[in-house]
This record gives sequence, structure tokens and C-alpha cells, in this order.
Amino acid sequence: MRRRVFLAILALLPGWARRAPASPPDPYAALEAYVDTLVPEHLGPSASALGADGALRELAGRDAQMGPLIAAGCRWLDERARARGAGSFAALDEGAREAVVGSAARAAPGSGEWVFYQHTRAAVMRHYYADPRGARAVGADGPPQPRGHPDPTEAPR
Amino acid sequence: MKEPEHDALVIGSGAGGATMAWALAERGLRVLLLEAGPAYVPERDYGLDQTDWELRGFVDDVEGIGRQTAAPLQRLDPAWDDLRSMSHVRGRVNPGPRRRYAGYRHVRGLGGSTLHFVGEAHRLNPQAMRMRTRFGVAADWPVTYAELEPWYERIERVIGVAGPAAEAARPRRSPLPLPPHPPSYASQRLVTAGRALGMTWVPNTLAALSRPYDGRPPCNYCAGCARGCPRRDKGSVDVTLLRRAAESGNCLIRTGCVVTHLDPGEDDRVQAVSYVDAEGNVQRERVRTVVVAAGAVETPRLLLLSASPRAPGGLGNESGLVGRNLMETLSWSASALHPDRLGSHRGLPSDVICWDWNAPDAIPGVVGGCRFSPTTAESDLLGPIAYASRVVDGFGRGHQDAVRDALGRVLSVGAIGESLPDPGSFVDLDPEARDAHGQALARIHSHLGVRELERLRFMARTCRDLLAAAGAEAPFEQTGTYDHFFSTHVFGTCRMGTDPATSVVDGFGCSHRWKNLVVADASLFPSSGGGEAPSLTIEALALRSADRLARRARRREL
Repeated sequence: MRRRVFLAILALLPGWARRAPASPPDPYAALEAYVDTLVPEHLGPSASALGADGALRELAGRDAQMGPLIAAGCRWLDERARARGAGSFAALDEGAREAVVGSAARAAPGSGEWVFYQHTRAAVMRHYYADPRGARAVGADGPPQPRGHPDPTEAPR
Repeated sequence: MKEPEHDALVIGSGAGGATMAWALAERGLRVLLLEAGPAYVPERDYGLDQTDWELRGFVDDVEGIGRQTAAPLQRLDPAWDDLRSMSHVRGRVNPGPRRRYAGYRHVRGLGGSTLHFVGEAHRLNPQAMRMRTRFGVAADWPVTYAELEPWYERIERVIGVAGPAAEAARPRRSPLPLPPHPPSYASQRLVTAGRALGMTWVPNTLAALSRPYDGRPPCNYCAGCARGCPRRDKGSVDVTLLRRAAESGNCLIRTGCVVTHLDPGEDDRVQAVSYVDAEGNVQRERVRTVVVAAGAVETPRLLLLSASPRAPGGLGNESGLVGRNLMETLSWSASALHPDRLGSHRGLPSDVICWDWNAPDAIPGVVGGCRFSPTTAESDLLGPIAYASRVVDGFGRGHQDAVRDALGRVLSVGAIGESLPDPGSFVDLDPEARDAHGQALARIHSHLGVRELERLRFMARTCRDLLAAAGAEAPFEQTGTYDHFFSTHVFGTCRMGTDPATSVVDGFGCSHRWKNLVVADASLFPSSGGGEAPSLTIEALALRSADRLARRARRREL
């Protein structure tokens, strides 16, 4: 997958850069709205309330491949929003944000937006559901130890 | 240089090295055990009680210790596209034209790979020990099942093995020390589905305690064996054999010690072992006997690194077979959602097993056997992160609802099959990559032949059929070793045998030439078996070899 990231950046960043207007000062400004599109406030807190956007910023800062990928992905989100007449991805309403993210999810495997979506989605899910508040939202048990599962032969309650 | 302080120096502390260290120390020999990795404290280091437990794998990446590399792997053939790994989230896991190297999972730490194993404690099917005579493939074992049986029995009692009282294919003189674990609720579905397909499922034989034993508590079925057992009920060798070795007072254990070279001396004896200790100091230890037990990749690497004018092709490599005959883990796993809530995150990872096709002639038209077992835990499909990222596709409110609905409904089944030697599968020294000490890394070459792929296809088809029979949906994820090299069990790179021209060591693991050089890991295996986990056989072989070494020591032959 690392090679896939590299190729996606190489192949698609110049195109994005040509098409996109000047980037906003914060290259990751779209992240808060983006992570809340992936996991909105619903059964539990939203992803941004659990710091998922910060986790992506941190990942972008320490990973030489993920940094450019996330920055390019944010530019792509804003570009898609502008095509819909909004000033930025964050300015879209929820339905429009879902449509933009959905187009990345359905894009051709290996395309820049698909790689961005797959990597950031996985990172957001890891961050959100590693938090006890996220785990509780979907009814997950807590850590397996020290209680264990004393009677795994019975149907779950 | 001073005289040896120890009767035996053991390199590596996994199943083979730990057994050797304990058995020799118990028999009164003074043992020095060198382990490259650290010692883990189960209660402190295994994070199964932490809120972020799911993010924590078994942490064994130790800085400064080299890993392995791989030579370019084979091109993938569209004729076998049904064996490509897939995920409903990502599509093809390996979209490229070649098989991809995904790693040799080998733990560097006191206890070796038993630290992350799921506790399977299998005796080898005796039918799998005569592959050359019966089928003209691999090599025959120079030791019979009957000769190994007493050693199997002894080691089962020491580490605490639970399982059925008897197995037709693997006769035993006495029952296992512990009764079998009951199948989990999810595994019961597989057993029922298997019965409908004519399959026979039995409780697996596991080094996980079903009752208190050896001062250790019974398993509480957290399913986290692969992340390390914080309760010490799993029979990893750190809490069983190495504990006993240390208690004997005859075994000195040093961790963080990377052996770099074995020095051959006169009279066809290894004279000394050079290593870098935990403080970075180069040490040279004179030896009476040296036991190499670093696993089937690192053991041949060390012997090849020990080439010298007295052993120009590598130590013990008079046959040219050190590193050759690599046999790997041929595996398949399929995962699907079941309509019912199963609580499949509970229970022992591999609590039931199907041996129906384990014998080498059991799969129609294909030489070499396989076994089937649940793989939900080994596929790491236990917690909400796995469900949110791998089981349920998409995002948004609907995704979260679906994750809540899916939790505990994953049913996974997998198979491990025989791996036969192939001229394209071997270990050599990487001409370029080096570890922190400037030593060449082991380089893995792997090639799967048609018979391996046919066996894998049978394994994949049976897994899919079983999930369908259990009422599960279409698999959302299928992973196999056709398009990835991914091995936990590796074998054969210092094959044992009776003929010095066709084997590296004899039936006791002793070099045909070097009188005080012993190998004690799965490098010895002339054939891999039909999916049996190797640790118990490694331990039985090592116990038998240690007994002979101790008798030789008493006769002052070492």
C-alpha cells in the first residue's frame, strides 16, 4: 500500500495542483468537516470531538508520504466543493459533503482520491474506535482483559 | 582464551532453544542461553487490558536487530485469480502482477514465536513423516513417530496441553494432562455446518490451560493469544520451560545478545561463539557444545555467516543444503458475516479443528495434507476498529449503525496446508542489506509450484463451502499466500537425515561433521506436515536430542 500511496501522489498531485486555485493558508482546513462526514455525531460523539482531525494532522506531520497525500486530498475536497458552488468543503451541507466523500469512495482503485479516502478512513476508524467513547457507541465490550469472556459457549447476551 | 564456563551454549529461546536449555539444565549441565530480543513481562507488556488494546499487536520490533529481505517473487497467473486475496473495502489486496512479500512473522524475544502463537500443540501425523518413500517428494524423517512419542508425552505434561483424550491418527500412550476446552458459540456453528458437509471437527489440542495447572490459572477466553497472554495460562516457553530452566540454577539467560559468528576450530569442533551483548560489547565465548535454535530463517543465516577457511561454504554446509528446502506457511482464510449474533470475539482462537484432509494422500489428486480451523481471532477480527475499517464498508451514520449491528457476527475459517520443498524456495545471505552489526540479512526466496496452488485451491474452496453451509453471507475478506508470502511457520533449511550428502544434520540435530554443533528448531524438518503447528514437534525433537547430549556429557564425550 505504501507504493500505492507513492504512485497516487506522483501521478495525481500535479493534476490537482494545476486545477486547484491557490491553497488556503491551512492545507488541512477541510479535515474537521471531512472526519465528521466519516463519523458524524450519531450513536456517539463525532470524530472531531474525539480528536480524529488532530490525529490526521499529526500523521501528516510525521509521515513523509501521508503528509503530501492528506494535503492533496484536502485540496481535492475543496475543489469538489467549489465545483458545487461552495467556498470550501467545510461550507457544504451534510448531504453534499457525503456526496463528495462518496465519490472518492467509489473512485477507481489506485486513483488519488480513492487512496486518500482509504488511508484516511482507516486512520479515522482506528482513532475513533480505540477511544472508549467510540467503542461504547457501537456497543463493543471494553478491553478483553482482565475479565475475559468466562463463558464463550453461550449465546451472547 | 579461557576454558568454557558452560557445558552448552544455546542460541535462541523459542520452542527449540528453550527446550534444550531446560532439558540440559535439568540434567545438571551448565547452560548459557543467548537471546537477541528482550524479555517481556506478560502483565506489564501485553496491553489486552488497555483501552487501545486493538491497536497493539505483539510488539517485537527491536531496534538494531536485522529483519529479513526477499528476492523478487513469482509472477501471478490469471489462471489462479480465484486465489487472489480480496477485501470488499479495498478490492484486490495485491493488485500487482507479482506475488508480494508480506513478511516472516518471527518474534525476537525470550520465548520466541511461542509468545504470539495461539497455543496449538500438535503432534505430527506419522503419515507425513515418510513423504519421499511414499510419494517421492521432500525427504523421510530419520526418526519415527514411535521414537518421538515418549518425548511428546513428556513435553505435553511440562507445558500443560489440553485436548481430546485420544486421536486416531496420532496414537498416544496416555491421555493429555488437561481436558479439552469447550467449543465457543461461534465455533459450534462451524462444527454443525461441517457436519452437514461430512466434515469431522474435534476440540483442538492446545497449550492453554483448561484447569489450573503448574501454578498457573486457566484460560479466561479473551481470544487475545496472538497479542501475548498476560495471565500466563498459555504455554509459551517463557512461562513454562524457561521458568523451569532458570529455577534449576544451571541456566544463565542473557537477553539482548546478537550472535554474529560461530568460530570453527580444529578437530571438526566449533571453538567459540561471538556475539554483541546488550551493552554493545563484542563478546567471544568458548564452547563445549553449541545449539543453534534461531528458527528456519535465522539459523541458516547464522551458519552461512560463519563461513571461514575451515568451513568455506558456511558452517555445517558440507552438503550445500544449509538454507535450501525452505518450506513456508501455505494458508488461506475467509471471513463472512453471519446473520446471528455469535459473540465471535470470545473464546480460544483455534478451539476446534478438522483433520479430515491432514494425511498426505487425503486431498483428491494432490499430494500433501491440510487442516481447517476457525480464524476469527487470527484474522484480528475481534474489536470495533476491525469492524469499522474492514467488516463494514462506507462511512457516516449508516456505517456506524451497521458496525453496531455486525459486532460479534464475523465467522472466519482458515486452512493451513503442507508446503513441499521447491528449488525456488530457499534462504541465502542478502548481498547488500545489512543489520546494525554489519552482518548480511537473510534473504528469502519463495516459489509456489502447481501442487501447492492446487492444494491452496482445495483449501479455499472448502473454506467458502463451509461458510456457506453455516449460513454466512458471501465472504467480505479472503486472504491467502498465493499472492503474498506471509509465513509464521517455516521449515527445512537444515534438514535432518541419515545421509550426509542429502542432509545437514543427523536425526538428533547434530551436524554430520561438526561434533559439537546441534540444530534445534524447525530447520530440521524434512517435511512440513499437513498443517500441524510445529512447536510441539520442535520441543519433542529437542528433548530427545538434549537427553542424548546429556548422556554424552556424562560420558565426557562433549
